[in-house]
Amino acid sequence: MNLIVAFPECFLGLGLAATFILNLFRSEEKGFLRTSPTLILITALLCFLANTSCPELALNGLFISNENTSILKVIFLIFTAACALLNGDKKQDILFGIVALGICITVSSGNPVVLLLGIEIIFLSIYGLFHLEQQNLNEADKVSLSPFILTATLGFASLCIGIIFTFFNISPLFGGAFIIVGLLIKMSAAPFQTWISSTYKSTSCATAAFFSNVLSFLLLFMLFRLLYENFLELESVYEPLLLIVAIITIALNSFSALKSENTKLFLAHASLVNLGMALSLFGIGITPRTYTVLMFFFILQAPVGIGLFASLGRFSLLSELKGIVMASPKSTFLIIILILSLAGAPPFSTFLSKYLLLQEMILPAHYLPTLFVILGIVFAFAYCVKIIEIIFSGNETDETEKPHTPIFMVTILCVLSSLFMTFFSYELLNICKMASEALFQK
Amino acid sequence: MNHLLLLMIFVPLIGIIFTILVKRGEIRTAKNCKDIRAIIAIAEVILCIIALFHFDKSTSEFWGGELFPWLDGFNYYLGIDGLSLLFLSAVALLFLFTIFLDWNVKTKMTKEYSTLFLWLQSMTMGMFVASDISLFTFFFIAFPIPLFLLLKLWSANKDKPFNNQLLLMNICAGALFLVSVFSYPEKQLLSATGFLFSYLIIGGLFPILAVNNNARAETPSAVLCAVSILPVLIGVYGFSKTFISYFYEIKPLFAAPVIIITGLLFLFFSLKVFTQKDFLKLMSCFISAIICIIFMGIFLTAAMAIEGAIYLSLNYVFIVTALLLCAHIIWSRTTSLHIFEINGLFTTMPIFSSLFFITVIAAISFPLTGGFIGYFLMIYESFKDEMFISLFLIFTMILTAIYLINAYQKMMQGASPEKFLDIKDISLKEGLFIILCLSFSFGLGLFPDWFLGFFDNLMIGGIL
Repeated sequence: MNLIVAFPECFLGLGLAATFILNLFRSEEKGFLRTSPTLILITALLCFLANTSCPELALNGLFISNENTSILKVIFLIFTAACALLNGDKKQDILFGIVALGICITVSSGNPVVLLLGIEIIFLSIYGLFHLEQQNLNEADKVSLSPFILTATLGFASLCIGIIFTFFNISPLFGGAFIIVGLLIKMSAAPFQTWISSTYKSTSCATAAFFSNVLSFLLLFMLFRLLYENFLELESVYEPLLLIVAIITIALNSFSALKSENTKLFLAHASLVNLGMALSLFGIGITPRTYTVLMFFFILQAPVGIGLFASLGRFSLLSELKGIVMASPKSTFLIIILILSLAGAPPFSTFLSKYLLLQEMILPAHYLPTLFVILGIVFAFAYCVKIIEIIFSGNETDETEKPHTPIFMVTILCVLSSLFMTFFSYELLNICKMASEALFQK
Repeated sequence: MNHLLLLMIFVPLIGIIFTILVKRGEIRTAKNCKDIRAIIAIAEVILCIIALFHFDKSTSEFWGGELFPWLDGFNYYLGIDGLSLLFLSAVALLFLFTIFLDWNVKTKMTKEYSTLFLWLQSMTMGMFVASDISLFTFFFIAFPIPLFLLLKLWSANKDKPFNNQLLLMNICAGALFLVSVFSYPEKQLLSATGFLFSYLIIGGLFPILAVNNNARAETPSAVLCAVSILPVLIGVYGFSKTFISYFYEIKPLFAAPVIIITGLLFLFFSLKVFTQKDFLKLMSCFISAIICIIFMGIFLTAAMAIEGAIYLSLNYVFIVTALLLCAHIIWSRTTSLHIFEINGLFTTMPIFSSLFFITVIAAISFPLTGGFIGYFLMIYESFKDEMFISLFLIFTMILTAIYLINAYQKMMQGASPEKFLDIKDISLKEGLFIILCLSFSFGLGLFPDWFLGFFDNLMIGGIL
């Protein structure tokens, strides 16, 4: 047993347990310890240091570590730490740590059952976060969590059936279909996203940012891996299915984002448009190149989504943005950069991600999904214009609440990443290629 | 000469950082922002002068080449040829002119205004120094965004959704451009159609619609100037550099429809001019008509005729700037641009009237001006094979002369109303600025050999 492979996960688990025990003995005046962002970042650093070129197994193959898993863990942990920083409630802090642990388990899973375990750890923690957020609200603002629970349970059931069908060799075709559907439900791809409109209204921007920008993409990466490792021969069957889902996701979420008045809903739909775009890559085929582009796309898009949640999250309605240009010009400047990045406008780095994506789709003549991706980009510009119009309209003396320091810090970091990733895209693409090679080495 | 071209892109970006650092809400904020813009614009002009002096006209090779790997099939490859250098210099001058146009104008949110202008400058310069088509695409899609924001936030047009449609139209053109880049060279026809439409939309349709809908005295002249000139230059440059060289064989397929459409549009705008009572509206029709002629020239068969169209577009930069400044001066003195309300300015503003007359003369492509050379090349070269077009071009010259001189006569001559008796003539600064613009137009007309020398090797190299 090579436990060194699972050392980052062990460290995170022990760190969280220690925090939990310390919190039990802390007096109420002092409040809870807030250690999750630090622990997650240290774990990310450990994952980076543990990065080895040759794959290693632990616990009889239940965990796997290679360049792909290390890179994925580092990226996802950094983004999770950013989301944890956005979270203002100390009670919820430990749950973000558990989410990070779930991410590590999911990414390192060497077995579908462990993968399912990792995903369920994340979803249970998310449920915990939603539940705690509900408790902080007034009676009038509370919403039912039933749609979320129902969707998550349905996804779990579908995944379980898929795993049983596949790994007991009952019917790999049906097994594959159930696993794909289960993951699509979990990542809230269209049409399995009805719960968003009710739940997101009452959730914190940290949870919403995590769910729509990090978790959805994590599940997308896991879908890619499962398809490559187990269902490559069924490529011709699931490719059209995924393309249809991608097109519906882009179309539905583009319209929803354009007509959304609620800020979090708008941002969630906008992020899901990106998810749809990434999903459309599956239609080209499960190739190392697709994986590289998928990873590149995610690394450039996720900070923008998180940054937007950080900067706009304090406004419950988009109409509240009126006149903020005068009240807080610095924030406005950051918001405009992020909103243009969301649309994929050059010179921001997200243009490069969309450029690569389109290039990948046009070259094999996939015109229909390309058309939808282009429409998604045009819609993104349309809602970008809408936001800019709101920002620059309204009364000049409007007062707005200043963002908290960690939130402002996350926003700045996201903006900087959007600006400077453009210059380091060559190196970034090489990292993505490295991860892709490690996955396909198998 | 290392990194000269790179500097041209990054100097305005450095300017943006300084503009952001300017403290808001102080008396000197606006002045500081303008100063930064002016320093950057002067620096860009100096960089262009250095490039002009070091550029080797005798070769068709790219000058100042720099290559940095970026993405797969997407290199940061900079380099200029004669055509790029002329356009670069024109753009650098244009941004300097916009400072003059803005000098005495109080704009709201000066920091944002300056930042957007610097952003626009960086993206535009980038487009002209890019040697890689993907890098060109990057700047091509990027440049309408600051232009749109300037139009959106500082235009006097209350019809805001219209400007939104302009941006979406540009984004669609950008997406089409991307598709064309990716489909080249496998799918020639699809790629050529994509390039054609994106250049026509961004270089022609966008400035025509934007200028016609935002031509109001309250819109800053610098914004109007940028929106009416930059897209045209980019369209012409794009057509000459990519479309003609990539699709030389299938160009005739598109020539006839484009020539017919631009000809009809010219007639439409020329007739519309006669119904205009506002000088700025009249100018917007004139600008639209000239854009039609420039694009018509690009699609003529003879290579020299294409050179003529390029020459006309270079002259267009200085003429439109001078005319916009004249319109701005009239409005600042009389608070009106109504052609029938303004009379007899010649008696109260003799210096301005004289300079305005020379501007009008230059605008109607009078001999000794750059416009004349451009027209001459187009008419002379098309006379052999496309005589009808040649005659049409002569007709366009005459028509332009009729309506511009007519407008000049109405505003400048006749008895001056009592309310205009006290108005002051132009200041020395304003006068010098008009003379500067005109001197470039006359320079193009007086030294055509020197300027055309930049194109010679492009023709040999098969670009034109």
